[in-house]
Amino acid sequence: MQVQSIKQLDPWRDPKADLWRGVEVESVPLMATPLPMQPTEYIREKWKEKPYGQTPSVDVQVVRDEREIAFHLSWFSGSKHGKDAAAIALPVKGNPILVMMGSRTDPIHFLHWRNDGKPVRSTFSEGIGSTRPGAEVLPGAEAHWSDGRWRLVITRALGRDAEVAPLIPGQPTKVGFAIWNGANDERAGLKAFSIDWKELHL
Amino acid sequence: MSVNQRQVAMVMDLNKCIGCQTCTVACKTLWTRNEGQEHMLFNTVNTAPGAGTPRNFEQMGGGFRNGKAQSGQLPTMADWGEKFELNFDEVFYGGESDMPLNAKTGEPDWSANWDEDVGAGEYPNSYYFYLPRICNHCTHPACMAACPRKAIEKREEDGVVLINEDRCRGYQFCAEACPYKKIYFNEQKGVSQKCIFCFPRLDEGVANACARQCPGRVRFVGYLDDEEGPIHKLVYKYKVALPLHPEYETGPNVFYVPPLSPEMIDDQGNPTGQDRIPLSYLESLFGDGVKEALDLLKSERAITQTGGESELMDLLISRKWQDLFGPFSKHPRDAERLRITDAADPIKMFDPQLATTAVEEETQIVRLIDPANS
Repeated sequence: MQVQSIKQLDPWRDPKADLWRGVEVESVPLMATPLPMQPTEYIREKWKEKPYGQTPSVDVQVVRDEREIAFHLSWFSGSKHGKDAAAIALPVKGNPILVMMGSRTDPIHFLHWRNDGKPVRSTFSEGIGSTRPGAEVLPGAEAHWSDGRWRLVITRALGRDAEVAPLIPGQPTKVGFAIWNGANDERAGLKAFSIDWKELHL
Repeated sequence: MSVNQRQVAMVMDLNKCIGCQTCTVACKTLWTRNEGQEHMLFNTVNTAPGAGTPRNFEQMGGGFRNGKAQSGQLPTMADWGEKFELNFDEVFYGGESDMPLNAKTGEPDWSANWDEDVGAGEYPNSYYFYLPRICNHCTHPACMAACPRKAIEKREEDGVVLINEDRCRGYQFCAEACPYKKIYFNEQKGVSQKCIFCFPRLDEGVANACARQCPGRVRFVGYLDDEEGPIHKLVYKYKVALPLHPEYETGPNVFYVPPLSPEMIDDQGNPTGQDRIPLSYLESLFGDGVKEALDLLKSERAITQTGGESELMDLLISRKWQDLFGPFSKHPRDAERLRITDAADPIKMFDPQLATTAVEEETQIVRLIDPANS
């Protein structure tokens, strides 16, 4: 996944901006998180016969200027629901396993948007169920829903810190994605996620 | 699953509950006055038989069966009943004494005590009783087992079940899994909230607000393992205090003395000797021990009616009010730690908005003392 370099990110914050038409789109296939990996028996029991994580893919575009990076996510959601959500995963260090939400030695930094009017959350994860508030990385998001699709731009400052996934121009990293379908009551580990990391070339 | 050293418990004697809702008001005033909590009643009192709170909660699943977690349903706001204001001002101070009490806005069709005194049965054998409910602070809490965040804890020292709001992410699996449907959602804060068994009061030797405020002396508070206390005697020695819906396998630590009934009467108005509240209904609530419990209550009552002595009747009568509260008989005014503020407490027992006001010390006192200062 190639990050396109741009001069000034501000006009790109609008997910409807025509500017995005000229940027390479990568369709990232998604799959439901496996039921046996849901962390409690209750969740496994409740959802054993109920499909979830059925969003097949998310279209991703990425641009950056000198200070910030913007991810444009677009996916089919059918209806618009307050609990629709999306997340971007970035490895903080080591080689974390995405589906395990990282580990103590190899944590993952998430930027999590939900259709509830609240700001993007920066979270830090050292494994399933361990997520806690993450470092301040000046995240932002604008979302637009039309014709059954969400178009979402999530932005973050470039750079690195102890608990902040490094996003440094010239240094490749990896990225993962997750989508929650609110109309299907999806939350927590009940989601569609990119099966593995995608290379991200800044 | 449970690792607590002791278990605090409550016994409610349904023969004494008059459905006055003083417990509900005491709890509401103390714990759920803030924005986002308008619909919350950690303590409810419903008429039984009835739909309960939330509406038809007994049909919403959850709990365990043969030790296996059971799927549950999340109550909707309509099931709880939206908060609405009544036209008290017009009715009581508007000079129109014939005006009925109505909702000021909208036409609500359900609320926490909507089917009050409806009950069941046909006149002259209609029947009902009041069923107060709080979180059962279960021995095997389905809420705790369901939470993917490990945000629910059972206190080691007394088994009180608490939601850690710093860990809670508002997923509400707990609310689905609780078969008693005693967990609410605070949209404002994005977290689940429920009865905390007044643990800051217990920590100071003060009984729960609902228990102290009860004019009917319905509620006993104490440790289950205190063999000299009323809780142990009512639950284990006399076996007249029974858990609600034990079939959910969560091991509730709130117990109920089932209600005795007046006799049914026949067409001629003569007593038939049959209990008006069907045994099968009470057994559907409190399990197989109901008949034995009612029989014992009747026989012990008969003993006292003929001048004999009965420890069980003495316990239930509770001539000395403070005997209800075991080690928690201290008056809130006398509690030692009223002035202590522990802002770092991860469990948000005090409203943060209030806690940041200039009168923090006073705020803490208000939060610990019963609304009516009893």
